[in-house]
Amino acid sequence: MSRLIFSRRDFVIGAVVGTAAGAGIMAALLRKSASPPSDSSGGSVFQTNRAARITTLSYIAVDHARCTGCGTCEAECALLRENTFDTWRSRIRIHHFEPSLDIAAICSSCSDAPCVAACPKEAGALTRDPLTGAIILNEGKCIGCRACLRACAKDRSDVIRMSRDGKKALGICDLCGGDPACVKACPEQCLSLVPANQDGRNLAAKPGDIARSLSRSIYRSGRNG
Amino acid sequence: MASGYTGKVLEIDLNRHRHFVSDTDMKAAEQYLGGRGLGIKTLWDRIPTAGLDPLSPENPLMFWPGPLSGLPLAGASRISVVTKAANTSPTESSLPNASTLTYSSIGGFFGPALKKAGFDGLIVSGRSDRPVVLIIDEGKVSFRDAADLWGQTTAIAFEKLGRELGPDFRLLTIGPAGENGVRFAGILSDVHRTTARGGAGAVMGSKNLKAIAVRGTLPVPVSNAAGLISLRQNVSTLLSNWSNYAHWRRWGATPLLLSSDQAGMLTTKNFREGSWQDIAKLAIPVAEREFWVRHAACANCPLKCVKIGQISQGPWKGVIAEGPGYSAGAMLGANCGVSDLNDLMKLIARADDLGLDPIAAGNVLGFVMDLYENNVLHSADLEGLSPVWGHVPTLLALLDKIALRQGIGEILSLGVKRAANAIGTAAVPFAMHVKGQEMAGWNVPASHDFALVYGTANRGGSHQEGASIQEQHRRTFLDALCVCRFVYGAVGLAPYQRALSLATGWQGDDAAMLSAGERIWTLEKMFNTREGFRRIDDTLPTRMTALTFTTGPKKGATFPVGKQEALLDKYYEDRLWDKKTSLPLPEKLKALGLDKLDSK
Repeated sequence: MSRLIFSRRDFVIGAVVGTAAGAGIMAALLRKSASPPSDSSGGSVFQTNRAARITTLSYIAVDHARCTGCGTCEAECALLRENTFDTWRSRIRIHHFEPSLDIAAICSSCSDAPCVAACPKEAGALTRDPLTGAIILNEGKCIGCRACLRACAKDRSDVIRMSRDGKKALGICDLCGGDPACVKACPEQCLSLVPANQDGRNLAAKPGDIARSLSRSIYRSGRNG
Repeated sequence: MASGYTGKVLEIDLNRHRHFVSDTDMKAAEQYLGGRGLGIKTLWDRIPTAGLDPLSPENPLMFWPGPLSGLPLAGASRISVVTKAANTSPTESSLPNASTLTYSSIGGFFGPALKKAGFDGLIVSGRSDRPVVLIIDEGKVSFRDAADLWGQTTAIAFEKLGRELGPDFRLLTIGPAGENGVRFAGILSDVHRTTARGGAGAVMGSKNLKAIAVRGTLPVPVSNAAGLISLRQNVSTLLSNWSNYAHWRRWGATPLLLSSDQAGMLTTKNFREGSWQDIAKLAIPVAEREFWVRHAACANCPLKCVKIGQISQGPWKGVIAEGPGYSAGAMLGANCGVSDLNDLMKLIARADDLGLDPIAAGNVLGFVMDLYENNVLHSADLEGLSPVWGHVPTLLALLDKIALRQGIGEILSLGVKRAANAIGTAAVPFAMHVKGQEMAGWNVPASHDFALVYGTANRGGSHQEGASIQEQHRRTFLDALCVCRFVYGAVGLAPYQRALSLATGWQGDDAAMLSAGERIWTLEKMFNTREGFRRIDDTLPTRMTALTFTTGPKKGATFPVGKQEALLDKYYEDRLWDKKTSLPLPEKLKALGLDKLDSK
């Protein structure tokens, strides 16, 4: 847990670059898509904004410095993707740290996907969506062996967890098919869809590690100096 | 199990380190909803006679989320902490421990987390034989020894417990002030939020309970999920259409310091003035430019009122604090004659670290400086300290003494009312309180309505309750739902009435809502009258009527002697309360279904 996946400098640069690129993409998307925001009655987002879908590999970047921890993304994901108030099923999760920081943890669609590699061949529950680059979990095929969870926890963001009954993996983001609900809902606009010519794995870090490095850039004057 | 509720209340017996789960009293929930409402109902049931020592094991310390808690709805993020108050007392009573109830609330994440851990309420009673932390991990309850945390600041407790339990637990903790029984100690949540008024921190400390950690991820059952999902969208649209939306998100409550100064409603130097020459140095844009490093939000809310900053230069470089929000800015800033933002933020940080109510702390410090200036207290009485207005190192030393109850701190830890009595009659006119509750950061001479707010609030001198009977009932209803007053100010009450219907199937209209608010308010009043509070306890300190503002936009403003009595006469009359005693009349009690409660 104490290992930093990247230095603070890398992180800050990554976050800034990610946001800028994301903003560009979003602007392009908004221009393309004249359709109104998807209906909020809990229907599938797959019905809308098909034209706006990204057609290259992509991932969601988080500008952690702007996140207020309100959890709108968590609720939106659970409501729109799972049709439930149960945020345990969200594919994005907020973690709170001290000194005060909130870190939104989400799958980075890593190009080398250690989770996919770890998934037993005979199960084959994890595949990559050729359209969006997202990693897709087929819950019906998941055998609950936790191999993906361990791989992500060991090497990447530690976003995979088990369902309440312990039988299925949860938390792998499928990018809502290319039009993510959380990105649209975030009141701070700190989520953005980024093309994967910047590999998402570069941003894949455990929430605690992100908090530690971000803390040094936000609380610049040292702790209670 | 009815929807909107989990149907379970977690009860903790600290005498035996046992816990058990009881069923939520759904009949009471229909009448009192939750939060502050179920709080007073349960307090009334559990404290059958007057005069219970609030710091005794028998005083239940209760945490009540509401029927909307845990739902993804902006504003529904609060939790009410209800207990018998540690700092209030009636003018006349033969019972040394007579006090009001208190119903302090906090936003953030603790309330939703407790509800999502499966509980409509948490009732803590008894007294642990050693300091402990209560850990609630959904259904699992455990106690952690707190010897290593006892005596530590709230910041250290948060950091240690946060590291130990991980980022998914939400925490409440007290500081040294609560441990030592300071009468105006609060309970802090997620570092920068305080359940401030009424000394709930002292009650928690008296139980040897240092902290509570809760992890909750279970969904709350609702009666109409689709309706709530669409309401969620409506609230979000209403909020973003609110005329103050953009600047509230940017600056939070901090600009109120400036508008209040203009309106002559600030509290300056122990309430003697309504404006403060240096207020601009304590508010925006200075705070935004020099102090803030991030915005933080309560659950599901885009308003992000929480402004976290770090002092970047000077002797307190590196100190992290929140604000200045209005109340702490007015009371630890203007009321203490503070002229520098870093000074103010250091004071706020220290009050938070020690676990003090920042409002009462600012009031007590203003009181001490006033006494010193008026030669009632001298350096010899203060272990050599010379508390002149705005001298922050001295104020920090006083806060430490209060929290540790050392020297003059022993007396000051009692709050201004008891401290004034202990110091002597010359000190009494300087104690700005109602019912023993330190008055808050809104002054009266230029805004007489606040006399009614402070006077009639059931927890004593609090500024939040509303200045008309209807408004008091609306806000009580809000508190029973644990909905935020800022969000209410932005979008009104209708969305939350609707949310209550959608969550629980509640069929009430406006009249039913106001009547629920009135029932709760009146039962609180009955609790207080049983403790001996009467009309005389609804009046402001006489000094308020002797003041005339000498500077600022409202120079010359006064609060005339007869004004308060006239306001109260009309208030009691409209409420069907006895004008002489302030007791609710039998027909009023009958109309609210409260006439049969006395026997219990």
